[in-house]
Amino acid sequence: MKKSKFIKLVLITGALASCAKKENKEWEYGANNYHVRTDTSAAYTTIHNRHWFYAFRPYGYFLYGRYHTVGYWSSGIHENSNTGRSATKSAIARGGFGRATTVSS
Amino acid sequence: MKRIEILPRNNWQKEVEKIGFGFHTTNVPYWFESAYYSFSMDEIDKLETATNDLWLMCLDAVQYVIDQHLYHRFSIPEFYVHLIELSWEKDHPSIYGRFDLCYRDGQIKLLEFNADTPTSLFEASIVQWYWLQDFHPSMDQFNSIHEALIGTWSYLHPYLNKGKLYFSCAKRNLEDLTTTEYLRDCAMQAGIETDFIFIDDLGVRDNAVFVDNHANKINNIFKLYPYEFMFHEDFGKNLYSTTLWIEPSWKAILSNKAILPILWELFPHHPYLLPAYFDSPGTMTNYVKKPLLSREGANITIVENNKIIEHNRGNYGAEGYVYQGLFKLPNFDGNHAVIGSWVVGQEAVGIGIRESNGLISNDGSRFVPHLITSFAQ
Repeated sequence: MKKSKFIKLVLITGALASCAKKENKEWEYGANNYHVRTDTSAAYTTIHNRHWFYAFRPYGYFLYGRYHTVGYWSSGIHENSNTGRSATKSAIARGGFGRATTVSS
Repeated sequence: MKRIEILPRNNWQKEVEKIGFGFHTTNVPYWFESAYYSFSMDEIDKLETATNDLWLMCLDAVQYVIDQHLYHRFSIPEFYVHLIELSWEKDHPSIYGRFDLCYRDGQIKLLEFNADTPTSLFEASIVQWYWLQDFHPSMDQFNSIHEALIGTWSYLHPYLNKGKLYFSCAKRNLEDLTTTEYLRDCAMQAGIETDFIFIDDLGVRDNAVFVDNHANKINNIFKLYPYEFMFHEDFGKNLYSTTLWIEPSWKAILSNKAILPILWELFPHHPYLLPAYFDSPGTMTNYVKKPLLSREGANITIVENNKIIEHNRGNYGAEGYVYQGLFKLPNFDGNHAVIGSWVVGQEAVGIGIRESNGLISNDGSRFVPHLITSFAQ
């Protein structure tokens, strides 16, 4: 017998399938530009709205059993707009992997 | 091996989406259930034996490359040689790989080994299995991929570093995300604590400590992102950290087409191998020219009687080429089928079939389900 008797999936079901929906074309190709930064100590830089960028992520560290937020971060914007003057943020480099968008083989 | 045309399920798109398969159709159909391939048990046994034998031959080939220091043949930068050798000596775990095989006229031939970042795993393990339950539940399928993945993660669990096992892939690609999340699903069912981070979001602090989005140290990570890219990107130099990477870096040897002439050198005229050479086709007049690091059939040229009969364009080839003897895919009324044979936890555990209109499988190929008939064909 080569076949599985029973298959259970705990993680991926409709959540991944829903990712297949196409993005809003208006958002993708619109003409407006945005200027964004991740915290008040960082510089604004331009985001052309045809660029895909992910939502900002909370960024911080655990100390004495508590999570200390030091700001937000996104791989979709310029490094200058991510780090600003936050010492913790600037101690971590990001974006060093991932130049390729697909690796399927 | 036969190709049988059938009617697809009503609303098959909804059926496959229900189980998390969102990339069934792009600009061309990818999941294709208007046909299936049938195999006799004898044929399946032969595929299973070939896959197990090829896996052992590949392990021998890795040792040979290391012993002979043949990294220049693979265009692997010298900086990463020690990393690869460390991962081999420490037996860093591998979870999976996919041999692409040609099965024609009773012969099985290795075309290439997708050892580092193989995809079509979810389709082979889950989607075609559910198809079989709807189409012919009493029939069999060469597919114990799911149980093997859970079992292998369970086996590897004690060998991981302490802490979570992260799963990672590039953004903006649902196929890669599905493969990665499926592997994570199996790890969770094996009792491993997991997390997910896109490879683009990985952080590095103190020069060589990989961290997640919350600056937590990453001790173990599965990445669906090829070493040939990582070696040339900014964070590559940090791979000498204590983080355990799955697949391990020794897979960079096996996922490279340079392994084909190495295998031929080690096992000349082996029935599962095609003649393969570096630098030139030698005396072959029928051959396939393959870049060392091509993906999805890019930059592959098929030559027959010294004339090009098929060529795929692309951006690969700068690292060099290998030349492999031509063994044409079986042609089922214009559909050329390649068998992806899965190794999970060192054993052959199942197959998935992709078919193309041409001889070169590419990103427009279709995934077609299969079943086993109980009688010889």
